[in-house]
Order: sequence, then C-alpha cells, then structure tokens
Amino acid sequence: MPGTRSSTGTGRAVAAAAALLMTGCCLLLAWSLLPGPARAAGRTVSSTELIEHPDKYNGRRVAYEGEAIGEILRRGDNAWLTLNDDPYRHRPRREYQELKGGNSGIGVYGPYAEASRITRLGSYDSLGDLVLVEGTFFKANPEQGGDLMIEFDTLTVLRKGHAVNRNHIGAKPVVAAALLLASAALAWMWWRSRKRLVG
Amino acid sequence: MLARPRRSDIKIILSNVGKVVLGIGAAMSIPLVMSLALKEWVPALDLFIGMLSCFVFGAVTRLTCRTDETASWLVGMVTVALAWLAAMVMGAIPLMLSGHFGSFLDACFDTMSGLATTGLTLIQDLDHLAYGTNFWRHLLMFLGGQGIVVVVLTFFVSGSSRAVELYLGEGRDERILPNVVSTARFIWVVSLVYLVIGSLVLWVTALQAGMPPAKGLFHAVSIFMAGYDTGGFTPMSQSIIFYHSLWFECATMLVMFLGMINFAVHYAAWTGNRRELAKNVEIRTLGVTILLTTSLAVIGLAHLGVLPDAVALFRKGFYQIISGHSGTGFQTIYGRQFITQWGSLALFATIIAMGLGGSASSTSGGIKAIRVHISARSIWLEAKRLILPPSSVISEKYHHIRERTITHDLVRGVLIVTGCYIIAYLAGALVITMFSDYSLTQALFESTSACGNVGLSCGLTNPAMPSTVKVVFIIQMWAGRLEFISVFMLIGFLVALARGK
Repeated sequence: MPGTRSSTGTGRAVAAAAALLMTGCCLLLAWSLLPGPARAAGRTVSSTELIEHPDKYNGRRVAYEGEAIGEILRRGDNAWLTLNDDPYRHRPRREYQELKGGNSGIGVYGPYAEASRITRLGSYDSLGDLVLVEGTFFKANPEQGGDLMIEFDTLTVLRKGHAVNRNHIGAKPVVAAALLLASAALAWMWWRSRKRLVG
Repeated sequence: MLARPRRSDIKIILSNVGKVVLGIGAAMSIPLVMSLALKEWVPALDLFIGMLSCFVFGAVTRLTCRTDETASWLVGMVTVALAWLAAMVMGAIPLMLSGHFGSFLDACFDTMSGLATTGLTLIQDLDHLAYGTNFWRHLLMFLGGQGIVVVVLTFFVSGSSRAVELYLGEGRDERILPNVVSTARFIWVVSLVYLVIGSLVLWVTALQAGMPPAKGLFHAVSIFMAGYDTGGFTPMSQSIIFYHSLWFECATMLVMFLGMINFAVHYAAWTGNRRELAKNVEIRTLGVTILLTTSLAVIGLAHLGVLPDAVALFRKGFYQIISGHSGTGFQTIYGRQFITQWGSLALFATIIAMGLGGSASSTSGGIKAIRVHISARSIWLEAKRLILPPSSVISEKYHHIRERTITHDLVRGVLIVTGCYIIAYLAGALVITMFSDYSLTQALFESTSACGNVGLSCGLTNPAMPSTVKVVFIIQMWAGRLEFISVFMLIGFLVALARGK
C-alpha cells in the first residue's frame, strides 16, 4: 500500500532526524564538557576570587588567564610563573597613562615545556604574553611548601606581548633645565659667600 | 611661661634639615647612574629633577641659615623630626614623576614607608616599574634604616658637638663607641660589609631559584637592603612569594635576624666578644617572644588545618612571625590570606609579634625587646616588694653589654615609650575604623604594622583607601620610627613658636 509505504518513509525520516538531533545534542554536550582553551576562556577565575574563596576552589580544576610577569623560574622539568590578571595585563601603566590600582596575580607551576612557549615577560619595557593555564588549584599545596597556587598542565598563549616604548616626558626637560640654572646660580652664590668668609 | 624659640634656633634647624636634604639628593645619584646605564631615560630624568630639587632646597637653607651656634637638646630633636618630613617630601619627587602613584600624598606615603623601613606601599603597577625607580625605593630603606641623620653624621659632620642630639633623636639610644660620629661610621661599615656578604648569599639562592644572573643580582641587592633594614619593599608585587624557594626564604630569614639585632651586640660579636650573644638580655627576650608568638600561630593554624605539614608551617607560619617580629614585612602568603585563612589566634600572634618588634638600636620598629624585658621585670620587682618585708633591699639587674641595674627612672622611661606605642596602635585602629568600613581586627593589624614599622598587610593598605587613613599611617610610621620623643619635641617647639613670649 502506497499510503502505508509513504507513512513508513516519513516515520524513518523523522526517526533519522531525531537520531541526528540527539547525536548533535550529545556531541554539543560532550564538546561543552571537554576542557579546551577556547571553552575555558569563558569561565576563567580571577586571582582575587581564588584568594578570597580558597576553600571553594581547593582541589578543583580551574582555568586562569594572566600576563606572564618577571621571570620563568625553571625547576628541572617544571617551572614557576607569575601571572597577573590586573588591568595592566592589557596595557601597562606606561601605555595607559592612567592608574588602575595595584597589581594582582598568582603563582602557577607546571611543565617547563609548556611554560617555554612564552616569548615575552612583563617588565618596565615589555608587556608580557597573555596566557591561559588550566590545572588544579591548591589553597596550600603540600608538595610546594604550602603555597596557594595552580598546578597547570596546559598553557596557551592567547596574545603575544610587545615592547613598550611610549614615553610621556611632558614638561620634564623644561623643569630640569630651570632647576639646573637655579642650582648653578645657587652654587655660584655659595662659592662667593664662602670665599668672602674665608677672605 | 613658655619661651619663644630664638631666631638662631630656627637657623640651626633649617641649616641641618638642608644638610639632610642634600644627603638625600646625593643618594639619588646611585639610581640615576643605574637608570642611565640601563637606558631608562625618562626615569633618569625623574631622578635628575629630584636631585636638583634637593640641591636647590639644601643650597637655599645653607645660604640663608648659616650659623656657627651649637644645637641644644630640644633643637636637635626638632631638627630630626623636621629632617624626616623634609626627606619624605623631597624623596617623593622621583616617585611621583614616575607616574606610578595616584597623588603626591601616595608618593610621600611610600617615601616615608621606605625611610621608616615600614614596607607598606601604595605604588600602582609595580611589576612594570623602571629598575632605577625601583632601586630608589629600596635605597630609601637602606638610608632610613641606618638613620638618614646618621648618614649626614657620617659624611658631613666632622665634630660631635651637635651630633649627639641628632643621633638620639633618631631613636638610637646607644653609643657603641665613645664618639657619636665614630659610632655612626661603625654602623655604616657593619652595614656595608653585611650588604656585600648578604647580597652574595641572596644572589646564589636567587640563581638556584631560577633567576637569570643580572636580574638575580638586582633582586638580591634590593631585597638585602629591604631585609637587613627590616623594611619589606620587594622588587615584585608578590613579595617573597614570587621566588617560590625554600632556600631564598631561609636566606631572607637570616638577613631579617641580622637586622633585628642591636648594633652594640653586632659590635661585641665583631670585636670577639661572642659570649655576649648568649648573655645579652635582648637576644634572650627575642628568643622567648619569638617562641611564644610562633607557638600561638602554629596552634591557631594547626587547629584550623590551614597548612598541610611542618614544612608549610615553617615556610608560612614561622616565616610570617619572624617577618612581623623583626619589623620587615616580607610575605610568603598573599595579604588577604591573613583574613581568609589564618583565623583569629594566628592573626593575634602576628599582631603581637609586630607590636613587640626587634632590638633597640637596630633597624627594627615596635616596642623593642629591651623595653619588653624591663617592663616584665618591673612587674616582677613590684610583686617582690609586696611579698618581702618593707625593710628588704631589692635590686634587679640585667645584662646588656655590661651589667645594669633596673632603676625607677629607667622603668618610667620604658613605660612611657611602651605606653606611647600601645596608644598609637589602638588610636590608629580606631581612626581607620572611623574612616573606612574595615573591621577592628583588620584595622588593628594594619595600624600595628604601620606604627611598628613592619609592613605586613592584610590587604587594607591600597591606593583607594581614604586620604585621612593615608595621613594617619604616615604619622604613625614617622612617629614610630623616631620613637615619639622627637615628634613630641617638634609639637612643643611649634606651640612655643606660636604662643611663646
């Protein structure tokens, strides 16, 4: 019967579509649960949150994003990094020309092979690489002398750092020149008064 | 009737203040050379402007206030109090020009914190600060720790007629050598020798921690200056946590121990009298108070299960107690951990350690071990008087370089200064709670840290805090470093100037 065949065909098509939709949903769910830099970037925790609520995150897997600052402190196959997540991670004070409070960040420890992907570290003349690390947060890691830290296993460089060359000198040279003249005049007066005293 | 100070008194004061400011300007040449060598042109210009400003100030006061008269005790004390304020204002110029401070008040806060060897800071984006400016912050601690007036005594004063008052005014009540200038020079020799040895030790441990050689040396010298002078500034915003190294922490602990010992005891050890180390009352008192405060902290931390094992207790608990007791302020934990993790008992132990401080005539702040000992012994003395028959002759002695007797005058002096510290700790806490929304415990922690010239922070000190609190902290750091007497003298002098006849 054509009508029955047709209804069976429609039923199969609906079943196939439902199966595809289910598979798609499962894949989407699995993808959303999979750890990955792009996914994790959306749910990174801040250093302030970790320090203020250490018990909440202790032993849990976290993603954390910050500017690599200072030095990579190598310890055998592993390394320590300091990652600052303050507003200066996007533009340091020298580029901002406005202040956004003190620095904030946290120490992270993990494989040197991962850490060595960092090419520039934050300092006076550099904005460091912005990196994302994923790993386990410890409020007091017994293997690291009780440090509050993240032990990472993956590190992704989200943005390369760059040299900072901007200088805002303003009226400083004029002030320096005026002070230099005043100093010379005072030194001459001093020398004369001493000469008069000795004479 | 209150006598108005003479014009010559004011001339002496301004002339000597000018000398101290010239000294501060001369000291700026060190970071200036460093900035030039590292091609940090703008920070070099900032330091150059600061240096010239000091020269202009110093030259004007020297030209207008030339005098050959000698200073009285009062004038000497007032000179010291004013010299510290002038040094704060002039020393803040390169910091303000660096652009890392929200206001000139913030820059003055950091300069006073550096000179008074406190370590609390309002700097913003420290981790991107120029090396030259960063070095200036640490050099301020080295100069302030030795005593900026001692610096002037060492390099600018040949005689000792005016030197005694200036020396005593800076909270140094001990003449190691018969001549005060010789004593000041001895302190410098000791400090420079320790600077070389201590920096080398820290450099080796910094290299072991993974620092590259050149930067490691910069960090080692900076941290030595801040640690030995019980200051607490560090090149990085993360303090000592940045290095994540047990050996580096041990080396800084050693430096802090050296800094908290009386220069007279250093002299005794240097001249072969090593038995003094075992017999000295301050060393013994420090041993007892460190043991007690550490025990309290360990009990508190263990009760809450904050730290997992003995190594962690040593690196976090003991370290913070030593850092607080010595008045240094280096941190191996994040400031807010004191509040979020440490609990009341460990926090209380840290406040007590900060309040007690190190030795007299050292670079430590706080009440000081000798005063703690004499206060405790005087209570014991009074108890004995009550128990024993009235006809009994009671005498108590203590050993500090030589045998000394505890007299009524000594006890009175000790109790006055101790009382001043306790009142200042509490008053500061009250003012902070009045002008901010922090709890009394947090306020007491920070107030004790400021007045005891320690520098540990539970996160309260930040650029956004009210200006009133910043001013209170500056006054606490200044008065605490000068042990109040010079500050009282200055207030009396100003009253006499306004109302005297």
